Amino acid sequence: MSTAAKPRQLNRDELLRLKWLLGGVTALVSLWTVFFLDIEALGLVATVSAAILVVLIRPSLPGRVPPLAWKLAVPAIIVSLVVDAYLSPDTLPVLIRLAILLVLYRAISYRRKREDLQLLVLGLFLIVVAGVLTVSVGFAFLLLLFTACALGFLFVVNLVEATGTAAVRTPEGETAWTRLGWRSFLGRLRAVADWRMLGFAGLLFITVVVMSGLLFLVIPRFELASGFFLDRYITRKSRSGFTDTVKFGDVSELIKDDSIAMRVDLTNSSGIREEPYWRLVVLDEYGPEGFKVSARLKGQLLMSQRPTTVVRGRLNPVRRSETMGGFWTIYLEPGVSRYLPLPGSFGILRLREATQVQTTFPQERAKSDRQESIDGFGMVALRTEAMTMLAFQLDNVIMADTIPDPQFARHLRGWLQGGEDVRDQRNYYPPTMLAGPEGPAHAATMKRLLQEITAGEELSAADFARKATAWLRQRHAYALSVRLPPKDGRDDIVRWLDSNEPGFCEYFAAGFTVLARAAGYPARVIAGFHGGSLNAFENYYMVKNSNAHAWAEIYDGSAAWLRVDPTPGGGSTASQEVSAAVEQIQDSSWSARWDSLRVLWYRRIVNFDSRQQVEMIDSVKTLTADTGNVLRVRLEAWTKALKAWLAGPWDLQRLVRVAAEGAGLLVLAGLTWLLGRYGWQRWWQWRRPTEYDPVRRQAGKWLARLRESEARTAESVAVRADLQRLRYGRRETWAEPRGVFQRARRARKLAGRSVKG
Amino acid sequence: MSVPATSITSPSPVWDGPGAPAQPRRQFDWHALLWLMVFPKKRHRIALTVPGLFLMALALGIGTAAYNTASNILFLTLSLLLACLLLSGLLSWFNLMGACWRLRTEGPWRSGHETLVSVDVHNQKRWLPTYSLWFELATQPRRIPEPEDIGRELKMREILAAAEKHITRGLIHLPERVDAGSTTTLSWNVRPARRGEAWVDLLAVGSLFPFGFLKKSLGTELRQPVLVWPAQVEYQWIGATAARGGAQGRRTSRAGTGDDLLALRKYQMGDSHRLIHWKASARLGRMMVRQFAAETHDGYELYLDPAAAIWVRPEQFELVCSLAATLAEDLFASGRLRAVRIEGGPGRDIRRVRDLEAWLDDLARLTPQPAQGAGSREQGSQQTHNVITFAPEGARGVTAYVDGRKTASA
Repeated sequence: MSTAAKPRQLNRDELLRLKWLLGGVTALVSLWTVFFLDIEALGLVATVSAAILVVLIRPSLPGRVPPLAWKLAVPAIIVSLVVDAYLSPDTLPVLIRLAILLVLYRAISYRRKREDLQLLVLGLFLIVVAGVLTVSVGFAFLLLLFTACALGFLFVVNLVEATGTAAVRTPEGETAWTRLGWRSFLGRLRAVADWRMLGFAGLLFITVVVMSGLLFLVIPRFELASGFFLDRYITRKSRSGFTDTVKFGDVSELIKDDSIAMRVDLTNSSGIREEPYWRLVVLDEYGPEGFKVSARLKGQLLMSQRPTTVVRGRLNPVRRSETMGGFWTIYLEPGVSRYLPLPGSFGILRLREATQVQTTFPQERAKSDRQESIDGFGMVALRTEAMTMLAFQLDNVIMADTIPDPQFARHLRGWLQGGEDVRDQRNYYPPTMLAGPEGPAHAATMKRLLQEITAGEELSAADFARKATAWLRQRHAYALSVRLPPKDGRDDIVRWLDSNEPGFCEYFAAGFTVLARAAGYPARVIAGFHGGSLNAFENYYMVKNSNAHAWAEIYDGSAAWLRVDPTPGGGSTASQEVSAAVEQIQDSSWSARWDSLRVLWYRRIVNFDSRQQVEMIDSVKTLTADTGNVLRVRLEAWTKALKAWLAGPWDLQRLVRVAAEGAGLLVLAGLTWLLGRYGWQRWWQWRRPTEYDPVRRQAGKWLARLRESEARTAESVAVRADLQRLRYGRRETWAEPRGVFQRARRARKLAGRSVKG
Repeated sequence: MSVPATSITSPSPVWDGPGAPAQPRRQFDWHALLWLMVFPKKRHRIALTVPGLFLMALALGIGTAAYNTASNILFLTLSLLLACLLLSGLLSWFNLMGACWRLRTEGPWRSGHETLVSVDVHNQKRWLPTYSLWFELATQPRRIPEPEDIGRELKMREILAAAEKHITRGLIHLPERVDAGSTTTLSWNVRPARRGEAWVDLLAVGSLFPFGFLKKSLGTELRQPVLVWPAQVEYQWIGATAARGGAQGRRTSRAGTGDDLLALRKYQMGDSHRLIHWKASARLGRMMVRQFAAETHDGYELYLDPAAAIWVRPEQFELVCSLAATLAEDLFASGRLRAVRIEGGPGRDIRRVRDLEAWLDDLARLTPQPAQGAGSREQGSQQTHNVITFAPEGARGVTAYVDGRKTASA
């Protein structure tokens, strides 16, 4: 058995092994960020990750690959790049896949310093691109993890570089590190690990994170007009729930999805008195398979498109009492829709950066009555669906269940009364909003059903809505699956209306709209969300995909569209009064807790702009000033109290009491100190039993004290020798420690006196 | 600065570096600290390595993209990169903090022979180790010869290039870390090219620690004077001219294995027990042994005239110094060297190794001298026979004569 202690440093082979391990882990972390991206590379990532894991565990494997294979790897990667670029419509996914292949190539080959740095750069590219494209909170964790791994990796690379200046090794020696056993290697790692160094490294990492946070906050932001650029190089498919065409079943598919569709930050959530309806898209054109946005409406939206950061919701001011105060910040997840969810009318909609926006809200007053107006639709849409989370802000929101549209009545009259020339105009309102299933069979069915609803009476739009809703609810139950009667030449919705089959919200909304149109009332289907829950942790509104809903709107004949929700369990009609403040559904589940982190991420990091920077500085200033004031007031109060106490009458009893209290405090402090010291010594003894010895420590302290004194008497020389024996010598050679320490104390006193003398 | 009498090791007592114990503790001054961040100390250099340059370019690129797109993700990445750079500087400072070093030369130094220069590195810190240092060393003659005259005025670059030829540089790395409170020694093998007085300098201590982005170099002013003896040279012993016996002159005596008692000295490990002088040991209270004188042989005296008129060619002068040194060592080893003398200087009896080393030191410093007056050879010399003198032979050679007869040549 060797008596020489194993060195507490890793040798070159062990360092190379550690470098290999850290390099592989760093590569894996960077690859995992690709999971956040919606590109067709998951299979590739899984394969590459598996390959890296295998060579991580068996580092000798790459050595068995023939050199020709390594030489052919680069041409193969180039060929795959060319093929991928040819087949793929988007540029960015091609680059990402190329980066994945390069990470694989670098991670599984034996690397020198330059290649180590290449691996890091490739990993950083993947991480940054994934973060920029997804802005997900998971990116933040992976970025921190990558940073920690990368710093450790660079540190070991530097150490390897320093040890590599020794004599040249044989090829066999160069790869000796690949043949180290994992057990022995991990054992060596454990042996050389020093908890102080690890703690120090952890502390340094925390310092890096804090420093980067501070730098992030103080880096000045400038408002540049140019927008985001990477989204031009990648396209995303929208969920089918909220596109221009909503077939029957699309919305109900979404209902099964419990993921969050959007989050709403409210400055004052108590003002929400009912479960809000979030209008996304107005489906005005009927088709046998479902409702869709009419071509003319799409054309009008396209004509209104312009790059902007501000959209006006109302041109006329409203009473403040009607609005919900504060700002509504909506964080819309990617993949929901290009149409923005709106809870009602609003004053201003603000986007973070200039974006191509289409809107039906007039951005300036109409110059003539004949000017087209599409503001009755109340829609705002982006040109294309956002790649990443989209944040926008609304102010002066009015959560009404009516959409004002005074122009529609005028256009309707004009269309009804006008001739062909009028009907050819681009005013598209009337025919679309009144069109339904055509044909004698449909007409007969609709007539019969309407007779059941109205009993031949002339009803107002609101009354008709109420009766039709009641009729539908009585006749059809709610279910997520629909079994339609057999086909008989009629459209699905007509067959469903004429049956007693249950249905979901799309059928109820479409059914009501078809009934209303058949009765001569303009109506349309709205798709969006209904309701949501309040996150108890961060006080924001969570709207899930399962809140997806479809309802209808009917024109009241004079000034506005009334919201009608005929689905059983849905909201009331417009004529019913709003119920008293509904208790908000609070979500305190673990998923809500995790989701609150995401909102924090969006609020504090993703949405952090110059305005928030200024607000932060102001709040810091205010906080500092306030804290200073509070402290000053408290100090003044305490000083006054102390003065009053001192000025009080002093008698013996009071003196004794004060003295006793002071003594008690001193005793308590002394006991605490002694206890702490005892605990510390015991802990040290337990940690390092062979190294820690209180006698040796004490002897070391006395030696240091005696070293300071310059006097060298015979006594001090003798006691120094004894102290050295206590400090460094074997236990068997020790004199009685207490006696030695007493002599040391005396020698020091004598030395002090002789110096003064 | 005076050159030591010998070139045997004399460890430098000076520790240098941020953790050197002799450095006085200065009071902390904010202004000094801030100024240090802007304008580093003299000879302290911080340079970007290639990875560091790349990192700066990357940070610049990400920063530009961040401002262009107002993407907070890019700002976050930029902040992390900058924080890592700051951390790199902080760790680099920690690494050098508490580290100190000193320069030691192991003698003797001999022209053409490899010798060792040691650098002791000590880590004064209480628990943080020191990693990845390198040390830049150089050795150069004390007086660098002037460059050859080529008939025109030389440019500065050419002058520096000519001077650089006389400087030998080396770089040694710390292969392992230096733990807290411990010391390690690094060695640099150097082969001096010329005899004479020289300097060994520790020019700078540098580090790429921790991530290799910044190359930090602290200039030091550690300098050790050394004396390089003449090179040993192959020579041909031509004549079998032995030392003439019965020569007049002073007898020298030195320790040896003869029969005559020379002196008593303290016992040293390895001395034979038969040499112990028991009575003297009892009287003095410590072990004493007898020292006998060596058998007297008639030996040689080496005499060297460094007149510039004789030694016109510098290479011949170098050769005569080497020959004189080599002959002196060989004769001393065989016990046949009595004395040495350089023209114009006092003679020196050679009894011990130290005397021989002093002769070698003189030879190391010797330069061609202006001619002395006639008859000076006789001054200071008490030996009339067995005197070895030297004279140039041809264009490149040197011959040694014993009493006028050719004895050796190189």
